Amino acid sequence: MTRLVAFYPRTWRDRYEDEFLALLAERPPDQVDRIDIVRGAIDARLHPQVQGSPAAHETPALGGPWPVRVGWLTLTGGVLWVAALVVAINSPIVIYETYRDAAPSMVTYRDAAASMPLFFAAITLLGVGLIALTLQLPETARAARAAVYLSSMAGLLWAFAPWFLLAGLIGFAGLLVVAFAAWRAGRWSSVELGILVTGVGLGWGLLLTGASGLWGPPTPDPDIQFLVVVPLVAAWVVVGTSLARVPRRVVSLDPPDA
Amino acid sequence: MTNGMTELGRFAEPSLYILLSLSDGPKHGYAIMSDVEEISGVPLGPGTLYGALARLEQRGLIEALEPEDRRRPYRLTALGATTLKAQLDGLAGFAKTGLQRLREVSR
Repeated sequence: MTRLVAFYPRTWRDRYEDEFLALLAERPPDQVDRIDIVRGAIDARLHPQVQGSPAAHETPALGGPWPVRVGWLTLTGGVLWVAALVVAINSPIVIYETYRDAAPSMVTYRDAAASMPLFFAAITLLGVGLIALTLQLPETARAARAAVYLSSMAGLLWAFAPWFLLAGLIGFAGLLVVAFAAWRAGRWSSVELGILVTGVGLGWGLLLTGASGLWGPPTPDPDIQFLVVVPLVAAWVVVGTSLARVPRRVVSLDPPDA
Repeated sequence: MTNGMTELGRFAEPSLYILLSLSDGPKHGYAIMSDVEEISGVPLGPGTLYGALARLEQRGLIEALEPEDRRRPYRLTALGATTLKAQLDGLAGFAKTGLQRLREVSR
């Protein structure tokens, strides 16, 4: 049973472990109770209530080496994003003879199917990083928590269907909400927020205006569509580095909300 | 700090049961669990119990007493008693309104 209690943070165990184990000795837990204990441990890590130790009110709620590992994974996702674009740009050109007369702008395109696994992995890793980042935010960051659900779902959809731009747009909009919450919570600096907003804004701005033909059709140079989304790599870099660095301990004297 | 229970999220209902359980005197964890199960008919998991106890203690609604053989009793504070009374008054008003409307409909 002590193995389950070990999931709780040290400050919680210092305060409650003895009586908790006494309770479990009096009423041995069944499977439902075991799940409840694990849920309680996750809650105690995400929303520490125990006072008397600075660790109780530290901002990073996801303890241990996990955030750092997730940060490195997210950065790897950024490398995969660039790799996906490189593979896409070097994909074979397909010529659409059928459209030569009707739609000259659609005569050629890159068959970028080979880049799909890389694209999928990159988007998935960004989603994982985003979830980890959100778990580190205070419980009061409700908008960020809602946004991360939406963003993850939309991002996953986009990972399967990159041509469905709306899904990608919603995914990155959610990312911006989380980024703003991270900045408000003091987790991110203004520079980090600025880099992310600039990269995401530039990438999506160019992609959407390009897709709508405002600055010319993407073909006959099909590579332009891939080049304009390079700035989006800022998302992986900022989310990844903010998780991978050893967190600066921010100690608040205010009691947590819940 | 607010005395409202709604901010406790999923711990709001268990917290109310715990306050009610402690209203007739101090109890330790196992006694609270048994009492709450008797009051509500629903068992309270150990993780939920201690999640709620930590929140109530942190908000000054209950306080821990000296442990007795590893088992630590908790008791209601004055603030906890006031909060419990306010919650029960609210529930009583809610029940009264509901019953009154049902009576009006059945006429």
